[in-house]
Amino acid sequence: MNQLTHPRVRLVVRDLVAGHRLMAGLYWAIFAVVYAGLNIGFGLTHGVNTSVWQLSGGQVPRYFLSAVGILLTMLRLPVYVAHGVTRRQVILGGSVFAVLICALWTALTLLGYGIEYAVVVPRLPLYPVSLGQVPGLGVVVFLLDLAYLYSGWLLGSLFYRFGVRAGILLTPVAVLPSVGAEFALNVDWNSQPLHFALGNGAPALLASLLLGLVCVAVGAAAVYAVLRTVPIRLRSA
Amino acid sequence: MTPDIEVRNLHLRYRDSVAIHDLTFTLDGGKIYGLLGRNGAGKTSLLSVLAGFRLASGGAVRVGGEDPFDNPRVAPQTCFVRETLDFVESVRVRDTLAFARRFRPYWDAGYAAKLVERFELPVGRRVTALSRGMRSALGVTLGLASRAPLTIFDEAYLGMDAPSRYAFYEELLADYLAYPRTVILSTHLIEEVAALFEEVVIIDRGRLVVHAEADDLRSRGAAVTGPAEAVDRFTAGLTVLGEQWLGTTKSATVTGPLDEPWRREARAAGLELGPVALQDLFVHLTKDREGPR
Amino acid sequence: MFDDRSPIYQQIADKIKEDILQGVLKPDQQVMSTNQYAAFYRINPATVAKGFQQLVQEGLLYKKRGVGMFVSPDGWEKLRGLRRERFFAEVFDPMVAEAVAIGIPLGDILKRIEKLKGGNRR
Repeated sequence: MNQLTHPRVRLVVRDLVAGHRLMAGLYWAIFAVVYAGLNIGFGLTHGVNTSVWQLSGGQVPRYFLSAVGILLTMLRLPVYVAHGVTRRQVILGGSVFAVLICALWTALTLLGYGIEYAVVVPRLPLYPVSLGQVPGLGVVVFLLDLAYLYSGWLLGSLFYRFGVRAGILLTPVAVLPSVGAEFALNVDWNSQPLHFALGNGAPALLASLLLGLVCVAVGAAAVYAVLRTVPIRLRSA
Repeated sequence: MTPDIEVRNLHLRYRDSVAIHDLTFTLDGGKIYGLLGRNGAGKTSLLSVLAGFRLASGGAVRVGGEDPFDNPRVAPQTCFVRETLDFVESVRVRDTLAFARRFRPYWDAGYAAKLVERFELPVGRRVTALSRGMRSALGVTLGLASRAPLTIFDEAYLGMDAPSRYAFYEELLADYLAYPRTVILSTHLIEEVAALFEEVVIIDRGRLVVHAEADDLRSRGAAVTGPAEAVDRFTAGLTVLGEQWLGTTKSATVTGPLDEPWRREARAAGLELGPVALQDLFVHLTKDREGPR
Repeated sequence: MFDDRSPIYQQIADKIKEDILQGVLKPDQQVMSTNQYAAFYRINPATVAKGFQQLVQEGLLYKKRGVGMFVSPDGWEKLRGLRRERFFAEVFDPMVAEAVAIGIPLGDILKRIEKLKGGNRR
């Protein structure tokens, strides 16, 4: 896949990273502060009886990734193509960027668990996540992050290519990768990806991961299909 | 680096209309071309296909021998400047220049700086906050400094005031002379730019009307000026594009077979013969023949 | 710079011819390059080249490969001959036609020519 190292693909990746640095940094800074505050407040009023991070700390940042995906095509594709980058190079570069930002998100999510553990463990000796589960958890989080990003990217691409009305109608199609991944990784909507890792009557870990990977792949393939021949239109002044 | 452009039986269909219909022509590399057409004639559609922005519905397009659509070899060689800038709206002028510097293989930063100064572009201002004229100036700056072997200006300078436009024509010519490339200018301000064209392509309603050298086109007609009755005598039987009177003097713009004997006789009869303005020819060639568009 | 009385390449050629006739451009002197002309007059260099081409065909300019365009050594003579022909066809004959149209007897014209001739001798 020497296309991945094509200089113009690398240009796209570098530009996307530079373009999102500020937003991502701000997001996590604010999120961490707000979350810490909520946590403390929650802990003070209700007592510490569960991992709040597990409840929602993994899910909320994922929506930010969806937003990043949505804006990828709508904001940036025309600019890249107008500057002599092919659509394939944009898709490749965007995918490399997706992997990078999801890896970062996964790392921060795991860090969140770690911090919560350190803070909370005196009062909650039976912390829901054990050290041995972290790698599995990491992969699950990573796949879910990717699925959400690709769903957003697909949604934005559909809007760009087919217009607002068709885009709205096709939204259910666009969310399939993320919904599929959630289902595959056996998460209920309160975000308990540990469910399967604990083996709570769920399919084997490997099967879940593979299914999740398939959902991500389907999302990526759909983005490729939509963007491959997309016309770049005149923007209204 | 002066790519040829070859268009063969090009068709372009939108959802509910045909923009380009069976278009065929060849442009040799390294010249400045004028692309003329009325609003909705298909100029932007054609240029979009040449620049790889749109996929043709039928027929073939070759830029430098290759299909330009999503082509990693052709894409970096092409710069398509339109009236609307292709940028994330919140960036500042200097960011657009930095972006172009990274992505355009032939970018000349020094030249860009010189143009920024010439057009008095405010580098710190956001693109959204620029006036229409400033946006156009930024667009042509990015187009000129990119030095792309195929550079297309699609009415990109219409928003600029006259002094800025003339500065642009000057810069374009000077840079073209120093760094030859294939340039296509599509415009409504025909007479302003006409002197820069080497060849002219006129399209109307998605079809090719004429493709000729600019001087050839101009010599296909004449502006005949002199005493009214003499003018009428000599223009009888010719296609008259327009007439003007001032007292007993008349000036008629005509097309038709205007050979040397005719010209000599006309001059001997005291008539002045001048070339036809491209604009007049253009209006005539794209006149509504079948009623409202 | 250029009016719309004749094609631009024609006007460029005419201006060079004028310069040759007046002696501003001397035999075997180099003319400005097409690029220089183009930049100076803000026109396409191909148009300039067309004007040069016409002059080369008329034997008034010659090209030295890799160097540029030069005035022919016999340019001035050639021009005088051409100008002479054109003078009669485009200036003299129309003048006579005009005189006839106004109703001036040709005898008066001849007398005036004599008078001018006499004046020029002084």
